[in-house]
Amino acid sequence: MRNFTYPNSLRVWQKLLFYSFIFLILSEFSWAQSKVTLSGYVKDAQNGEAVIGATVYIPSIQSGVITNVYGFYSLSVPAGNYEVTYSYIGYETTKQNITLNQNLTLDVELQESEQQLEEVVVSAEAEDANVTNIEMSVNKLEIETIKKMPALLGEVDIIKSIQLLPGVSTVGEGATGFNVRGGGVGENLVLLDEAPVYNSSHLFGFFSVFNPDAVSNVKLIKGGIPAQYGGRMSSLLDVRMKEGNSKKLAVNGGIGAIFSRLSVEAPIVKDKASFIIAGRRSYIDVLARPFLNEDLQDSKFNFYDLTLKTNYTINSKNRIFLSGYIGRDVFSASTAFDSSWGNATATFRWNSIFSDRFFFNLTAFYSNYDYELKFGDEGDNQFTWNSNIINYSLKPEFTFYANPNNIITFGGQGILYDFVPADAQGVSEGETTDISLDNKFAFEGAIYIGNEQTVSPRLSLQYGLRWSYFNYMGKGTAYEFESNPEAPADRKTPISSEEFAQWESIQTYNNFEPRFALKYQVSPSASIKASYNRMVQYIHLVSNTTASIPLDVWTPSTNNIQPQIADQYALGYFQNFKDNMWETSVEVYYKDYQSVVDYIDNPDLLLNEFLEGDLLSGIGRAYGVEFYVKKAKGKFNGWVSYTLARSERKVEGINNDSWFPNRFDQTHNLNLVAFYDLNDKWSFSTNFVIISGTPATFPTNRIVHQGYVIPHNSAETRNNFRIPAYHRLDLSATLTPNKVKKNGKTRRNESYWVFSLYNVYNRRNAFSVYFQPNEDNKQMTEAIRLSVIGSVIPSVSYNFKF
Amino acid sequence: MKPRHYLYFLFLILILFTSCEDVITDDISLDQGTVQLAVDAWLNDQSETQEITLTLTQPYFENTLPPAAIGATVQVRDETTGNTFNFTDANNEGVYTWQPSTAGEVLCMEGNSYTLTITYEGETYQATSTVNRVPSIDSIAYEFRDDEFGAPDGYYAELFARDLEGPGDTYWIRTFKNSEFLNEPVDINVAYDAGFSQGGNVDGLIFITPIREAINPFTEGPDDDPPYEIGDRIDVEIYSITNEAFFFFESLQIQLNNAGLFAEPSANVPSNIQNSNPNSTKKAVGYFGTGAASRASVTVQ
Repeated sequence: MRNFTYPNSLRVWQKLLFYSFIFLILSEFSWAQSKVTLSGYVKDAQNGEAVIGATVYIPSIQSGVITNVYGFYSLSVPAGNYEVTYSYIGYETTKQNITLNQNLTLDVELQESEQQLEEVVVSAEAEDANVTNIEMSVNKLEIETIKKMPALLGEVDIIKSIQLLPGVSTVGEGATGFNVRGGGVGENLVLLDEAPVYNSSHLFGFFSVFNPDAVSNVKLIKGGIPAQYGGRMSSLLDVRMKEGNSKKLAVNGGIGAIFSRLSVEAPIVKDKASFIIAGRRSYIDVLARPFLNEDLQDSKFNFYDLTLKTNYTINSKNRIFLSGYIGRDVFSASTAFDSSWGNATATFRWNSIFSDRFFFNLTAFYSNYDYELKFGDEGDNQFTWNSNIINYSLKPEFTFYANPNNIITFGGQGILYDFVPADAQGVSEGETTDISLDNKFAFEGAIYIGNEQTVSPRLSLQYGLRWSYFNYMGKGTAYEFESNPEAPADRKTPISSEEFAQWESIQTYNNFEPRFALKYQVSPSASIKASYNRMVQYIHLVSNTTASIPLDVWTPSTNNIQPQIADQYALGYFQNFKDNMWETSVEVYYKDYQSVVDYIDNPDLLLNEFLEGDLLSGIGRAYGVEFYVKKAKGKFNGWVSYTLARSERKVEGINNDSWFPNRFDQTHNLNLVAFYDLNDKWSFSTNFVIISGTPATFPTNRIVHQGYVIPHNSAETRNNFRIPAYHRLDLSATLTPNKVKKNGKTRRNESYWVFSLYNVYNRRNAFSVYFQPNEDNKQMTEAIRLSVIGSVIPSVSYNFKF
Repeated sequence: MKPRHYLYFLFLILILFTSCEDVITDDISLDQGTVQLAVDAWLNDQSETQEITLTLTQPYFENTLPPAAIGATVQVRDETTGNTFNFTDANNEGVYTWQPSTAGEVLCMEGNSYTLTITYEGETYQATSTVNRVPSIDSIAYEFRDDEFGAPDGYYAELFARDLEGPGDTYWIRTFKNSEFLNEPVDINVAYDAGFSQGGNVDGLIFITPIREAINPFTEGPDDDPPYEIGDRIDVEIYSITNEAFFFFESLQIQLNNAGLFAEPSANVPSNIQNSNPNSTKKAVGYFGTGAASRASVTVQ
């Protein structure tokens, strides 16, 4: 058993944290006598949904707090008479005069403000939250904003939308997931109601798996990640589902070129229990059928997802939620070939208010990503292959509202992983062969404590420590590999193996992950923020292709694969102008990676028992600067973001042992998003993207061997070239018919049409460039550009709500 | 075909309406590379002419036949028996040959290991390889098929042979249609035991279906010519290769079929040719392999 990374500075840090915690608890006791606590939930008056991030503020004493992800708040102040304001962008601010002489629970409902809503673009909290909040490197997108953006085939898409934010990008159309600050797709922790989603895309990367009708809140954290989150190096995408309308029946839906979708939400017991059920299904196969030849008439290619959530308020102190998601992509061609893949998650949560200042949440989840492949007819010759990553987790979390200046969060998490790399059978002339690979088992645990402290009106701190532990365990076979010291980047050969019994540890790792963030308010409209975080990633997405594929496997850290570690330092300046009409920010970041997983040249990553022999370990660094300017108000609004960045790796034996840009390194990334509300009927939006081409290894020479013309790079460099830059313009127009019909009657339902053009000027953006001999003349070698989308794509969708 | 290829195919159907491939050779200016000696040497245990072809690499976009590397000294030594075999380039074409001096004389013998030594322009390059065992071919069967998924009607052949007992055997299966080597990149057919890769738990079995059927020339769609027609002669050779050579072919497959959305990153294929002076900056590319061959043939009737 080895023990990694426990430097002395961390021990000091740990001690410091412990003492400050004790100090806080002690001060708490002496203090509790004279103070009283105001606590409760903030909800939307129309549908009863929790309002996340609403500000509860007492102007007379300049004390305030922000509601948590369940809409809960707690504020301890000296006894007295106060005017308390409850505010949130897009809602009418509510003022309450309260006499506080003992602890008081007050649930507040906020009314949506029609007028303001139209002006909302991105922010969802106080108008100056971007400046006053301690969070940095955080992007939030309102579903209302996402719905207004031009989208491919008119499908509102969360992941495509976040790719327009600073520091976020994609390697091209059709590429799964997203890349944050030069990190890989598998370095993002994507949570849907706390449960991890291992593949966030439908149809490779064209659409994301989240149904926008069922989503209430989307938050992407790129840096300054609080102690309660861990497990991935680059970012956290926290997607929260709607709770379901607890006031009345509501139906949303849409008909588009790709999907049709429908969601129904309603109270089960008014104000006590409600549910939402939302589904989508694509029908490309139906539309494509006339174009297919006879052989392919029985083909299926569709994708669907179903989201379900229900909640029940047991009493004023206890509430439970149950949410589930199932999504699947199905591809099959007559009887010869069958495949499907998808995520399934289930989350149970219990919120309990232990005391007015003690909020508890227990989350238990199950998550399963799997794929199935089958070819050949039933009978003599067949091949089947199933693969899964299953996890079960329990996550208790306590929030202690110690006083208005300290909010302490502590808790833990345990995740049990079951990796099924391949459950595969081949039948050959009736002879069945089991070519399955052994399951791999692992446990990931963490405990953490963090505090958000307001030191002075100008200075706020957020600090915490997470201790994570990973146990790669049996039942299974552990291999020992031998590498060639003269060629460290060659395939390693297994030299010995050892069998381990169930639950027996093969290898354990543990790490301390300090987290720190600071905000200094320079003026009411300007602040400086800084953060540091260490993130440790114990499970790895094994993928060396430019676009991740559904068949990519996740693998745990083992005796041969070490956990990947990233340290990130970020510094930012935030300033708003003209009464928060303009929001601006500049952030710089530097990331230092240890033990990053890389691959030998020409690795065999699928169905390979000795996969570990094809993996390499290296170091990495990523740095950049992100500029962001947003016009948040007015008929004409939107934002511009520009990122200048670099992401590199160094792996022994690769690229002559020098640094090379990694696959998702994009030097320049400029996004422009604009909205224009012409009148009540018409609104328009546009976005323009220009991104540097991704790196690729281009040959210098060719070798003729056995008649094959083989590309060869005589300098033995990796990623020595860039494919051409990517740029694209999209437009969309939204038509909302008048609420009042011509005959004077009011429409019962709200509906709107979205017309969009994707890739307006018909650009053939390169997804990749590859080299091969001409089909007719083998002598002639060519460079070929693959464009996934080669023309403008128009679309119309119809959406309704009643 | 590996499972991945089916996915590519389906994906192609999906993006048929909009995706496109364009030749952009004129827009790309590649780095200047170094010209290197390229070795193409695959020797077998048959009593027949053995060939080693030496060429020079060319700039990638140079559309001419590769220049021959002439004037080299080429020798193969049997490390087990100590015998040496000299290869000569009689026509100055870069094709160095060795002829059996008596009927039945062979160069490669199962179990022995061999060293290739090439002296070219003052540099000495060496490579080693061993001769592994090879199973015999039971039969080559063929049948007429129609209405197959995406494939033309016609005769399809199948190779029947069983991997030898004991894990770690690797083979290169070569097919000749009317004496013409099927050398499309998709036709490369290599086996690790009876399957595609190491650790596949397929030791000692009849080759799995995709390997058995890879002796048919690849067809892209139903309108292509059928793999075989009446009168066609099919020659199949199973040639034993080392595990390192298997990885060479695996890499070759990846690099030659390297198109599409999920293309693996381009990289050099490995080479076992070493400059015997480790301080020299000159490196050679290519491969030296030795093996035992078992052959069978059939004519479609």
